[in-house]
Amino acid sequence: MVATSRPHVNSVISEPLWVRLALIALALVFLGLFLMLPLFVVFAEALRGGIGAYVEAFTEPDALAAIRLTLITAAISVPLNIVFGVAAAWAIAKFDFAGKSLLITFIDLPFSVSPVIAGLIYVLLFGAHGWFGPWLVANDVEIIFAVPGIVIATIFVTFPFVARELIPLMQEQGNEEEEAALSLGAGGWQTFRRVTLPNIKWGLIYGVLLCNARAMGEFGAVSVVSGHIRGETNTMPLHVEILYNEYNFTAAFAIASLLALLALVTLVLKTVLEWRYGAELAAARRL
Amino acid sequence: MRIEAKDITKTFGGFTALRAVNLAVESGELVALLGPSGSGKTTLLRIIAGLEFPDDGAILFDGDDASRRTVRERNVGFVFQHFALFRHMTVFENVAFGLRVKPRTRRLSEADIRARVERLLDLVQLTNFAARYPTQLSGGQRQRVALARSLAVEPSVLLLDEPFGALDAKVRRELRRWLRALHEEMHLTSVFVTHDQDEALELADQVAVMSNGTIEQIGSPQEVYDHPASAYVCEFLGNVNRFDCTIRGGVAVVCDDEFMTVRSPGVVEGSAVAYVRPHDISIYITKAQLGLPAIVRHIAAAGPVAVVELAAEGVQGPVEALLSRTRHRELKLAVGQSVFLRAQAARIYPAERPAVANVE
Repeated sequence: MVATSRPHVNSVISEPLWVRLALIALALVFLGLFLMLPLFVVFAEALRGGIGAYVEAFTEPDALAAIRLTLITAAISVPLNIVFGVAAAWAIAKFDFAGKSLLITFIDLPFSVSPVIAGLIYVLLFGAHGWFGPWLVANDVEIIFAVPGIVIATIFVTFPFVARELIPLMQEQGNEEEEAALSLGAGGWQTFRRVTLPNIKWGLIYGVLLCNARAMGEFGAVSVVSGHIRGETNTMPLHVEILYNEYNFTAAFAIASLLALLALVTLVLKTVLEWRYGAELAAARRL
Repeated sequence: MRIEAKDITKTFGGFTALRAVNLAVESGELVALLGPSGSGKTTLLRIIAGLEFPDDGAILFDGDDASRRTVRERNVGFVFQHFALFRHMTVFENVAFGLRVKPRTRRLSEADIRARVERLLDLVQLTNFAARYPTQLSGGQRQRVALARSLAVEPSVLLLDEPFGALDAKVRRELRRWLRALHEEMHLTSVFVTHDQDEALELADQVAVMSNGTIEQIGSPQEVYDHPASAYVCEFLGNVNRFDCTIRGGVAVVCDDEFMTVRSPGVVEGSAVAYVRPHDISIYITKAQLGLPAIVRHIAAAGPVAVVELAAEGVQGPVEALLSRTRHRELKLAVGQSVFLRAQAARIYPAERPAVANVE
């Protein structure tokens, strides 16, 4: 992940020219076929009906509602996952306690469980016939087929991103700097803000970028809990599916292109950060 | 500040790091905790600092019980083995850290902070490096930054964990001298941990030799070197030759009566261990009166003294002897030559028990 400038390739270990060319070509063809081409198709299809139809696809009320809901979901779930992720990584990296490996396994759970099951769990918990269903109905709280359900499902699915990025980093950095800060008279919060946070800054930013991309793009878990109510509980990925099933390809691809754009922006941001702060990043890991 | 550790016991899981350790450090003293890794020396230092809490026992600062105080409240300067500099801060900000985190009411003004940091950087000769980041410094420079940072908060106690462990030999010697001078100048009570006996003996006022979670002996460097309290201390402090010996009628016969006999009252009759320092072994070309036959195996003469390695009759393993340069020139030894050895002094210990006899 860290951008480093390599020394000039040593001729002893380098392959013959044709091997290098063949390998590069293979990689490029693969990339083009499986990544670039689909991306191109998304934008080509989206713009097939002309700019007018493209813009119209966003400005239509249901599409606007979907975009708004996606932004709200991300705006709630990402900050919460930052807090959870930092707390979990902090606990795992800086303290020894019983059940630590179990906790690490649990953090990975959302990655190993199919998102559909994640959605289903919440239906079983909070749905009308679920464990807490009767109580929720009695108290007039809507979770499933409403915004809270979507947010909860998204939090579940995106939980590991921040924590997983931070745990190895914090484990590698150890406790000594925090101990040094404490011995110099800093309080717990001061130590976190002035020492820990700057040290994990880059890992945290990566984690947040990835977490955000997933929060906006999540389909499976959200699909189960959303109920697909147009203009109310449709996120962008769900809206794409509905449009597609209605043979409204131009609009479907238009919204899809927006999601693709998000992915591209994430990628560009990540690259820019690595390029701009590569030296600082490498330094943070080395000492 | 006088530091006292009373009956400190600490276990980690099933491992006992310290067993009822007692240590007193007088105000202004420089004390070394010397021992191999796993002897508990770092744990003791961290307990004094408040980075670790003992299972049992108390830490007293000037007679006051400090056991319940956190590291933040103890006002100690701690220098970590790998320095633990804040990697994202410049040298200046590292040193200023302790001043900046003080509560607003007790915090110095920005100008005063600046002045104090500059004074400290001057003290550790790093004025020109203020804007650098830790990764841009050499090991010795990082060490000095760590020291300046811990001194910035004007601690009453300075604690150093293997302060020279991560440095190469030349820098180590320089820094040692410099730290000694600094200690004398600042009148701080200091405790440092080391596994290097030369370092402890050269630098400290008092050396506490540790093994297996206990302190084997505390004393001035000369005391522990000349009068080691146990075979362990004797073996740990510098090179020694170890010989099996037997004691009959209060007289120890080391190796062979040709080599040495010593009166050793109090040591139980039977088998015992004798330690002879390399500089207490004399080499003779001809057998004047007495002498243990030996053969020269190796000579290292590049240094203040010549180190001669010999194989002696009836002794397992090599015997090491030190010769002054003059004596070495007189003898004109060659590898393979037959010589005779005499021991000038030996320390006798019954196997695994404290010493009683000390004969010079």
